[in-house]
Amino acid sequence: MSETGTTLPQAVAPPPLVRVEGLTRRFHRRTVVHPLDFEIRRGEVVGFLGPNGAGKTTTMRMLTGYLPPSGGRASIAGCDVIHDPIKARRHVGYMPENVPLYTDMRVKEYLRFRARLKGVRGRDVRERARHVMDECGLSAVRGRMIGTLSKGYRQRIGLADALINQPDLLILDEPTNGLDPNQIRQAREFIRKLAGTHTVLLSTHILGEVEQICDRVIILDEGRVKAAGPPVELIDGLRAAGIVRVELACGDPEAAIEAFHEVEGVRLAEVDEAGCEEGWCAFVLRAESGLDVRENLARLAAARGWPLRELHRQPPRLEDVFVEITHRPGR
Amino acid sequence: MQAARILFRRELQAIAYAPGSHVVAAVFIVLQGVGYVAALRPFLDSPQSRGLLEMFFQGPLFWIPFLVLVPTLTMRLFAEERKMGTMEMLLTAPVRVRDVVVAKFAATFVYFCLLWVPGFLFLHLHGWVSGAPPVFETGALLATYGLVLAMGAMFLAVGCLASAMTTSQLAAGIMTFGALMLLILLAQLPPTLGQMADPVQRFFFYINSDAHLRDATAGLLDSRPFVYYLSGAGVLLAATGYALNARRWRS
Repeated sequence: MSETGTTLPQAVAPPPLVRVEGLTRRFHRRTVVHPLDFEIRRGEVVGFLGPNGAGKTTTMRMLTGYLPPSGGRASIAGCDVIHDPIKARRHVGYMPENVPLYTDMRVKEYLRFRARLKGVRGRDVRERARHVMDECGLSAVRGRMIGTLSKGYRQRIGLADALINQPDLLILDEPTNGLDPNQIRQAREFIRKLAGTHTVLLSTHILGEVEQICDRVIILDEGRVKAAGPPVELIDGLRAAGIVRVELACGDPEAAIEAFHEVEGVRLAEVDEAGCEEGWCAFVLRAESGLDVRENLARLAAARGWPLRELHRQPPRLEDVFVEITHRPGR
Repeated sequence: MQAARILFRRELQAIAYAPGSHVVAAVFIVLQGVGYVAALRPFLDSPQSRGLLEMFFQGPLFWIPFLVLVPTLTMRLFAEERKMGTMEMLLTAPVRVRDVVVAKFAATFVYFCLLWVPGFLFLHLHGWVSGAPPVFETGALLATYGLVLAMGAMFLAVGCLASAMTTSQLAAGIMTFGALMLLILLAQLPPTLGQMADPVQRFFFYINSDAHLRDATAGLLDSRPFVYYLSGAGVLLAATGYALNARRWRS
């Protein structure tokens, strides 16, 4: 403490809660996760995106200490997940995909069991279990056998389990997987509520969700970080990219698509069947980032003599970033 | 060890709630009863050179239920947990693989011990009903039950290892049964093989469970089988932990 006591030491950034350095994982000589580096600061909500098989689950499992990495290091709250896995796990609440549970236990019984296992002290066990059941909307089914509950409830039990020992970090692997739209909305609301008080790493396929909840996004593809940053920045990075809608009258849509592909900056052109009517054909085009293809398209239509009645660029969304980064023809 | 204790309680509860374990218990106790009657029967007709204890613990009516009991108790342990994915829930909590192995083995062993209680009572039944002096030495009885439990510890450990090696309960059960049959039958080889070197013969005697049991029922307490069974159980449980870890490293 300084004598004056008026100024705090100049912004010493607190150490990140999660630090991942060169984390690698191989299965049978196939590298699933290439050296991976990222950090998560306390209080952040980070979205893990990527196509199936991109290495999201593998990375999460390595962070929880379930899968030992083939190389590199990772630490949570200063505890190395490889050398000090038990300590590191005390800081993590993990909800795996599909939420495996003991179906022969009652909800409250299971949560008390998990609380004890995670080191919650004897007299606090009941209190914590009651608290997370209230928080996750499980009070009505507290005495039911887990095996008789629906997917939505099981998902909530998984979440309650992850929260039970008040961990620093929540790792949620596709928390909305397999839920119906109402449940997805509830889950999203709930995660958003958690975001204020917890550090969260979550993976999902629902990009709208990420855009709304996450402070930062890490896009993985084939085990590599392809992009990372706040969703807004990623979208800005695309600038003119995104989707262009074209509606014109042409005899042969196939020929038009072929012509579109020759236009500089067009990555993907498809007929929008729903928009086609009486000689008019609608197309959806995906543009390369950094290029505005509208001018070229107008010129093309004029040159071919195709009457053009719509040329509209939709502002890019996170989905466009995702497709831009991870799309490969034939996949 | 805190974690192991919590898991042990959960495991005992799982055994108590599973209908399967009660079926196993019922069948086993009935078979023990049949074995007891079969052991008593010859005494009706003529005096026997062997005691009741020896008759009860020898022959197929002892071995077959025993060899079926072990796999049915152990096959579920790790295979189901891995198949359901709940192993992931366990090992992402602050729990060591060692804790899981110890807890599951200990709970199964406790249940296994309980299953021998009725048989123990059968043996006393005779005395209680007729008021006659016991037909066996207390020492021999304790030696026999001690040996059976030690043997059980190793056999259950065989089952643990098999269950940790596969996600199929059935495969685990069959593997365990096969391995135990082999363990029992292997010791019966020497007479069929003819003359053998002394160390080899000693080895076969060392692993001859049937002979150990015969000695114990005759009131001969030998420490060697106990060393064999308990160290065997230790090694097999260590291997179980290793197998579970290896799964995580590979798959």
